[in-house]
Amino acid sequence: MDEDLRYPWMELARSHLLQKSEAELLQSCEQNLSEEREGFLDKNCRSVVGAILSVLSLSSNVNEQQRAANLFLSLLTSRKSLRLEEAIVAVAKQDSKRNLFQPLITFLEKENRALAASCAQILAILFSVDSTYKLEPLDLVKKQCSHIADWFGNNLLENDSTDEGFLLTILSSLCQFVRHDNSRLAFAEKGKDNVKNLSYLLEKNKQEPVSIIYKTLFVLWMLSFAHSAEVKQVVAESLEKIFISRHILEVLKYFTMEKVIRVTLSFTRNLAAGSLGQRIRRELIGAGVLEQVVILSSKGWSDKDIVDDINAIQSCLEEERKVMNSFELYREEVLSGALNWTPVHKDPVFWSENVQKLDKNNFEVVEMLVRLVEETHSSVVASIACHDLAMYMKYHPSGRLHIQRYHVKDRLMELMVTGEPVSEHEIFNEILFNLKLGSEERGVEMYSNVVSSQMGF
Amino acid sequence: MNDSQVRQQVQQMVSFIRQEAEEKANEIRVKAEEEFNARKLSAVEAAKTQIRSEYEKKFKQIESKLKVAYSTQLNASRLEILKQREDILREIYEGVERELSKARGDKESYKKLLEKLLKQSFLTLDDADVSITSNEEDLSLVESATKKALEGGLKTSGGQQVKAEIDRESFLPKTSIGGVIVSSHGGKIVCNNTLEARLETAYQQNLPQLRDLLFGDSELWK
Repeated sequence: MDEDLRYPWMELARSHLLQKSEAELLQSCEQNLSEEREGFLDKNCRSVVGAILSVLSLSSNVNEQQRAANLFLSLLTSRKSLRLEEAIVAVAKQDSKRNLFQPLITFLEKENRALAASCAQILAILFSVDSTYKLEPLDLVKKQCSHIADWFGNNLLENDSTDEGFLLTILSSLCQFVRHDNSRLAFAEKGKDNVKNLSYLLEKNKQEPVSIIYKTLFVLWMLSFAHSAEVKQVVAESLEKIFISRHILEVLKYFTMEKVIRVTLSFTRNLAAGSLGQRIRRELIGAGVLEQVVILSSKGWSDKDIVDDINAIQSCLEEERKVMNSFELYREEVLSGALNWTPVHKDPVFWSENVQKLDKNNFEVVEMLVRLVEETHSSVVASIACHDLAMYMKYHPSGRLHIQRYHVKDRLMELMVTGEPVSEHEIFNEILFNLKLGSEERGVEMYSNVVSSQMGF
Repeated sequence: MNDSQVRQQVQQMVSFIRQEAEEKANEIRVKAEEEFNARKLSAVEAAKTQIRSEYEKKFKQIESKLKVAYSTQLNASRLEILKQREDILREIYEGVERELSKARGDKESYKKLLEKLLKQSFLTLDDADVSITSNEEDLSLVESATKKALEGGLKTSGGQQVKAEIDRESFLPKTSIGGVIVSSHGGKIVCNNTLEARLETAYQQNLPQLRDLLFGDSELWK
């Protein structure tokens, strides 16, 4: 084993990529036990870092690169890394032409996934060093940050060749990466799918292993610590787009692992405290997170932090709920995407009073209902949405005309065929109302199609 | 299960527990760091705003001080200018006064002047009985001037003959540079035609023109 270790560094020295002293250093680094290493590091930090960076940027052998990357990583993650940070700063300042991140970034593209993953980890840590010490020019850093964020986002999407280990490594490095405002901004940027890809991992029916769910929620938690107002807004928007309240509700309902609940509660606490804006807070209430948290509080938790978080969430959300009237509650429920059979849905008084308000803000609520009908996988949500649309048409003088615009009939047909009995009932109502519009023929045609398909013709 | 299996299982449990503990420890650390960052940032922001507002205040204070000083200075300069102008006018006045006092030197023209002054006074007073007060040294001149002035029979607007009496008891003070005071109705109506009075009148009447000539297009009055 020792022979193997000795070989690569010396080889490099011979081929003049490394100086002999540097090679020796690297070698002793690898061989040392951790306690000795601390002392050794103190003395030789700068040269070690310089050597590693040289290997990474100059060598072409994958093994060597991997080794160097691993060594770097183990150095970076050791506790006393403060000295190391200073060394990195010193090296970066010394050679101003050589960009600190560029060689590592090129490695991200390589096919060797393991190498890419290690580099991602290193980059994550290096970025944190950079934002503390401001090593590189700002616009360059921003571009690189954005590039890395996109790489992370793309690799979160699972395909057949993804293995769990790789995904876990990515998530771990993402946890580290996303702890700085620059990275948060790059990751959550408008128009990018990064956060969305993250949310896919949380889908219940995918049944990801607990470790992945845990890390995904951890990343989201880190995202929610945004500091500057601009970043807060960007993060808030990206979270709202993915119906985060619904995901939170589902996680709290269906997962029993303590650590998952723990992280979710910490995350929810940040959101409930209003640091990311009032809108998310309200959506949490609308989605029914408050009730779920109350249910959770009745279980005995041994971890004091969990109890603290539960209490904090409860008081924040209750405070907000007090100032919301019933229409606002309904609106937030719809906008959060987590529809439930709350009494309001079937209350005729509510509908006759408030139906006009659904038109506000450019038909925001109506459009969301339509969208939910079209996109949701949950039959409960679909049936409630159909029911509400039917109510809307019933009580609103020009409701039918508005709904007509959205061409939702085809989707309704689809649902009829595939849906469960409960939703069918609601959809029937919908279609009946649509029929009354006057497109009688079409309505009859649709109806007969449905009936015949149900009968199996 | 044999020993090694048991050991293995225990080992697995140990590592599992350890990993869970490390994860919790990581959470605690990360949460603490993030909250620290958040608080640090807000403290820094608060301090920055405070310093900014302090300096705003100081800046405004200095600004207003400067403004006050400027306008004080401006006023002072204006007053100074006005004072200087007054001094100049005063000089002119005194110069003219000096010249006037030499008027007595030329007896002939002085007599003619007295004549005109007397005539004007009689016409102004428009009274039949008038009394003339003059300087002691001018007495003889005034007598002949009076006679000359009344020549041709000066009449009042009412048609009465004007009779002038020269006061030989009281005279104008020695400081007077010349001229006469004519009064009627026992001193109740007085026409002061002393040279100093005439100077004063001429000065007052010509002051605007004088100012214009001297100080011309000055911004001070704009």
